Amino acid sequence: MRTPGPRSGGRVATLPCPMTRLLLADDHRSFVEVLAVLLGAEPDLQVVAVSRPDEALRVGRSGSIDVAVLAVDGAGGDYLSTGEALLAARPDIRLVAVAQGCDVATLARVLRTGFRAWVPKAEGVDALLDAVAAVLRGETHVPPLLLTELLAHLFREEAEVRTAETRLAALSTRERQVLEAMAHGWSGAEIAEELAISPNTVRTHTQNILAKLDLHTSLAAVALARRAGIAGP
Amino acid sequence: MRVLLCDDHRLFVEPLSAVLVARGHETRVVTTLAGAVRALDDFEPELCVMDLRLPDGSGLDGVAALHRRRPACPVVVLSGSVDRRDAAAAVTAGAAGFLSKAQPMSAVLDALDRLGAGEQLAPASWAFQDAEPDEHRRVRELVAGLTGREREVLHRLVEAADTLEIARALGVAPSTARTHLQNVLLKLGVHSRLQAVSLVVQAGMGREP
Repeated sequence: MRTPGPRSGGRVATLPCPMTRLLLADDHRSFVEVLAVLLGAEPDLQVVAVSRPDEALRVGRSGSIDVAVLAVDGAGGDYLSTGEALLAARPDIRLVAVAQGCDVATLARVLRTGFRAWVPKAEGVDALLDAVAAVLRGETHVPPLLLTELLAHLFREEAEVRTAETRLAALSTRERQVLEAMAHGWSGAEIAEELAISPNTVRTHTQNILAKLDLHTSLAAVALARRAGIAGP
Repeated sequence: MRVLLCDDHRLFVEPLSAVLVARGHETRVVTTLAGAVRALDDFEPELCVMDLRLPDGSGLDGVAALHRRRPACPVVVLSGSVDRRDAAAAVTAGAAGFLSKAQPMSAVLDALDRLGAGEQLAPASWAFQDAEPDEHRRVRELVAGLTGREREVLHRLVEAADTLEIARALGVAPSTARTHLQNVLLKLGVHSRLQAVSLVVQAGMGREP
């Protein structure tokens, strides 16, 4: 098997910037450190490795990072919200997700957050370098096979959301609020207190919600709300 | 020293291999247990580094297999896990040590050097911890404590099934379904079906509890 080693400068021409500053973040410190050693040997890369979300934020916000490579699932930690915060502070930063699995729902969430690339850990260093070069060119970089699944997932989700939204459109603003609170697992009493109405009114709202949605249980209503994306995950 | 690296995360093991080569070692990277066993004969490693989760089985079986075939070659586990139980299981399987990927690279390289020199590894107890029981883990453990039947009930619950539908899906009497339901709520420590669903969905387990 080929033993990876420092590469020649052949890639310089493919990167738009003369020197790219890369942030690597994953809870597995030895992983980011060995990767940083290898990537640091690239003539056009400057690499910082961190293994805690707060460090990733501090370094990423400092303003000099071009690309942040962040773990998004599995034992390497979840830097999804870190990526979101980085993007809010530095809209020009490019985010690359490094993932243990190939879960298409996670991939969809990652891309929705603003990540531009997805690299499975089972892939080699070349795949990561390709992804970094791609995001620097403004591209989105997802393994083609996953892309097929992703599109199917998104279309299905879109259809589900549209159906659910159509049904929920029948609800009044107040009823929507009650449904949302129910989806968070609140009791009738808690909902009454939060919305400053009587428990009886909550009950009436609930009955109206079920009648309008043509459903028999709050549980079914909540499931519908979740499909429409109005109630948390 | 000839070091065999067995890990299907090439993004980790390729750079690790490069670092070891730069330190004067010879390496072979394999990504499956079968590959590791094959490499025993044609690579004749003096040290094996094994991940716990591999595409064709558990690294623990790998440790046992390598240890049996070549007792003179120490096998060390290098895993993403920092769980005490994994460490204990690895040592029981015959591992010469248990390293965590969460350790700094220098600590891992140092440990490999010492193993190669025939030294024993002191148990790096700081590397193992009972990870903070965050909310997701807590919920996962609660769900893991359910029986298969109860998990099925919970799954139906997330799909918004009512008692009758659950009974039908499970092929049991409604009263039995109700008993299962009550047990699910009891074990999850919640008071309503809605709370149960909200709990598992917020722990990211909505699709397959």
